[in-house]
Amino acid sequence: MLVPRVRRSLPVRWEQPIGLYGLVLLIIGNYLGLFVAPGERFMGEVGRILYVHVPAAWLSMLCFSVAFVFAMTFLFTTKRTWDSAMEAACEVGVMEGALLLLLGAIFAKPTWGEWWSWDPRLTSSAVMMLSFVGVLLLRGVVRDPDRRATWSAVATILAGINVPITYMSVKWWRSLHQMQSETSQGSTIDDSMRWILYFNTFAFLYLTVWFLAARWRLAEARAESEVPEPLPEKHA
Amino acid sequence: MIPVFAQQTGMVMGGLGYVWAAYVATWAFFGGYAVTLYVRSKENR
Repeated sequence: MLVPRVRRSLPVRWEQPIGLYGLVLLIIGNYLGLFVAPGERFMGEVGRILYVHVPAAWLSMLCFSVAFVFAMTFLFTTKRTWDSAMEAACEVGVMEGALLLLLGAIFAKPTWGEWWSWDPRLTSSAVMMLSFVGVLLLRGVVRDPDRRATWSAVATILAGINVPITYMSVKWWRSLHQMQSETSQGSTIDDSMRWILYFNTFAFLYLTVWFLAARWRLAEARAESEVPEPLPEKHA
Repeated sequence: MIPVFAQQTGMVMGGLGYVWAAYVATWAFFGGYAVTLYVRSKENR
């Protein structure tokens, strides 16, 4: 049986200045995306959506990848704090994954003429997001903390397989979606747009770290409340 | 007179409404999620 090892919340909330910094970056980054960035060559004004769509894609995939790592770490160490971290990464990833799909639909309508297409990239993104929704649902129905932690770690690892599939889907199959713009071979984005994209990505990153830390605290508090009370000592 | 849809420029024209919708959605998601975190942390105390 797994022994619950719970750490109390950190007295100093280090993530709050990071979140505030991310908020400021997001305000400036969105202003740059809306008013300073040039129109995209083919998509015109609609191309401005990429400054929120692409960071949402990158950060949701980052959260799911991190959840995968936390799940593996939990299975190797059985420390409950990794289970809490995995829960946080799954939930924040699902939130950003849902945002990604919504932004993708808003992007698709004026550029492709339809809100949704069963395209490999879109479909794999939806499957990826829904598989992590499944992990959260599983956590919601299993009452025993040890079973919940182990089962959801396994489910997270299985769901995590979707991350590289989603990333590579535009290369492996014929897709309406464009290929990766940023690769190890270089970038296909003009420098006048690229720095604004990265500015917004850092805003998303800082906010994501804030969300992850705050959500991890919630999970830790729940784990703490689940620790059974010690049995009263028997007096002869 | 050439109808609007037939004026082939190679670029998507207009669409600023979609752009604003995307940015509003981003703020709604982040703001909404931050509120849920705050509410849940209050409930835990």
